[in-house]
Amino acid sequence: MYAYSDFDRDFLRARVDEFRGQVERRLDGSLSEDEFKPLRLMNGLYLQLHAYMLRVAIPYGTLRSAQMRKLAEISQRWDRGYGHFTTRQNIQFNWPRLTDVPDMLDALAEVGMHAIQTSGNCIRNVTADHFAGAAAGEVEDPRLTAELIRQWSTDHPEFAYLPRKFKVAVTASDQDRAVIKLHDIGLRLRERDGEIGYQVVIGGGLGRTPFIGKEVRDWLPKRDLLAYLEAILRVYNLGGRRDNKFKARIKILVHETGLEELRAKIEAEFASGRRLLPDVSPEITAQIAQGFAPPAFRDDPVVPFSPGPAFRSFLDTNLHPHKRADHVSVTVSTKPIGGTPGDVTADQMHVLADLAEQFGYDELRISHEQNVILPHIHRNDLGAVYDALAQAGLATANIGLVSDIIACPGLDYCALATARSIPIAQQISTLFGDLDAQADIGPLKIKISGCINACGHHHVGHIGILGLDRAGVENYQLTLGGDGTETATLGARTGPGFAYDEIVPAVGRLIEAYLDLREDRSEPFLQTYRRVGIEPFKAVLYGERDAKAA
Amino acid sequence: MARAIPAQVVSANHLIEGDAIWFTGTGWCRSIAKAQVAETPEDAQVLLAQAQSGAEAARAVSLYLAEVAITPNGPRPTHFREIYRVRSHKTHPQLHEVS
Ligand code: SF4
Repeated sequence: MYAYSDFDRDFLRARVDEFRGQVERRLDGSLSEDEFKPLRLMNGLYLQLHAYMLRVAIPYGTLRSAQMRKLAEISQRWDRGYGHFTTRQNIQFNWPRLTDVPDMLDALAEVGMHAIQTSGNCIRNVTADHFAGAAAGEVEDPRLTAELIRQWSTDHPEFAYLPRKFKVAVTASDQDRAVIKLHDIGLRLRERDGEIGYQVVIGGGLGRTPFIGKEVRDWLPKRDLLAYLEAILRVYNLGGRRDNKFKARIKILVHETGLEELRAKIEAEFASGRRLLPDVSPEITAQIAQGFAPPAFRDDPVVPFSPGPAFRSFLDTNLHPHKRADHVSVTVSTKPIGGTPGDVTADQMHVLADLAEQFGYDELRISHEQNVILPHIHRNDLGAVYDALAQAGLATANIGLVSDIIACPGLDYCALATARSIPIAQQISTLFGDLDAQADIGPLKIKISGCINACGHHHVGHIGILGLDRAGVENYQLTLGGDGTETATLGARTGPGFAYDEIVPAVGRLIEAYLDLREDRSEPFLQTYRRVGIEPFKAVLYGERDAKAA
Repeated sequence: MARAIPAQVVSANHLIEGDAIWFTGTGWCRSIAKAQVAETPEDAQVLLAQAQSGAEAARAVSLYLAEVAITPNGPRPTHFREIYRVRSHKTHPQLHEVS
């Protein structure tokens, strides 16, 4: 975990004071909305359909108990008693009053949190594998890298006004849980001849024009990381299309320039040795490493137990192997049947904070799949953790299943939305409410976005749903076969979209078809899709004849 | 046949609360039923200018014209985006007691 110095604390206080003054000047009329808007956005404050929204950065999705408690307190005191965890491992408060926001930022600063760079054309919150530091098979904790990038990119003077927003994700496992190939820069730690370095992928992205990232370096020594990132960002900053917002991301630069030519530019810039910031000192590296030292894991021998059926399902679904055999990572679903993906109430946040403190070495994580993770739980504590989660309505045994849906806020909140996404997620979840039936369907990732910006990652859903406005009516496009992992693939569009009341039955038909088509229970949806292709699915969506026309 | 020109109202978000508000012709209200309706594009531009420059303009942010249908109960939005702005929020009814 990062630790703030006096400098960091002073900096944050000064930023909050500055924003407080800006709010006052907005209220007394000395600042117009045109003048104020960029200032509020620099502090993570958006104006949405029904209210302001404050987006708070959770660096690489890691939280301590005190921070989770503070989020709960903020939601109770200044919002409506809940928060929304996002696909960028952040939290959003959906109902703040403008006049309360400086106080909310002050409260966040008390626990070393802020909303800086959660908006605007800058380097955003660096994301990482949510099992970082806990998962078996990691080269090293990817948060060491993410934290280094966080420190380097926060308020970076050269990259504060890029052509467009810029997102970096880091993983250190062969299994990519951080969606690195769909980021502007994706980093994968790897080991070669006893040395640790990076695979560097650039130009991935979702949105209007999705691209899978391309490898620009298969090996980058660790010591060169910031110099190389600076070279990429500098080439992008100068070459990115500022003339057209829709073509301004680095993915378009990679696409239009071609990987080889862009790589040559990046390498030339890197070789020039021009650096705005000095190299990282060994002291900083050591300080970061100290912040992420593994906790003092308990060595108690594991005591066998016999769980009841509900607990058994939870154990089957919500656990992930830990690097230590006597521990596991527990994923807490924020998606009860019929619930809103990513929403957690203040009371639930308190429960999670208490559990992390009592059983989880004070650590919590937020996943890009909008769930909460207790990364280090001793196996002997699973019963107590499960009981507390069940009491708080947090023990839904659906991780990786059909109701573990990613859904962006959509038209229930978002000013950019062209359709609702949350009610679609709720209805799909309710349709497949029975957890045994969900377990029978097996691993299936449904991802829903309420507009082309694709915050709900629909392009990489096994089933992706995109809500659009077609001549004043909500219409939902389906994509199939998307994959956000190390085998990243963009989903293929099935054909014409579906009306609001047709889309959930259409998803139902897709799943029925999969159950008919799969060889047996061991063949998950994605595998069946890859084996049989899109046609049988189109047939159940549109009928045999329309499928050909589609 | 030429498409009928829809009536319009001026909508915005409240500066402090951020919630949806509508221009009444003299000020702002939280019920679209009380909004001033412009029935021609020219009137709509005049109404928008009034809303932008009126005494209470400082309370409103992100002003725009929204199409409405005129009903016995006053103007009602026609586009689904505006319909959702008018409706109370649905995802957590128990948490959305607006004071
Ligand atoms: S995908 Fe669109 S609707 Fe959904 S949160 Fe992003 S911008 Fe809003």
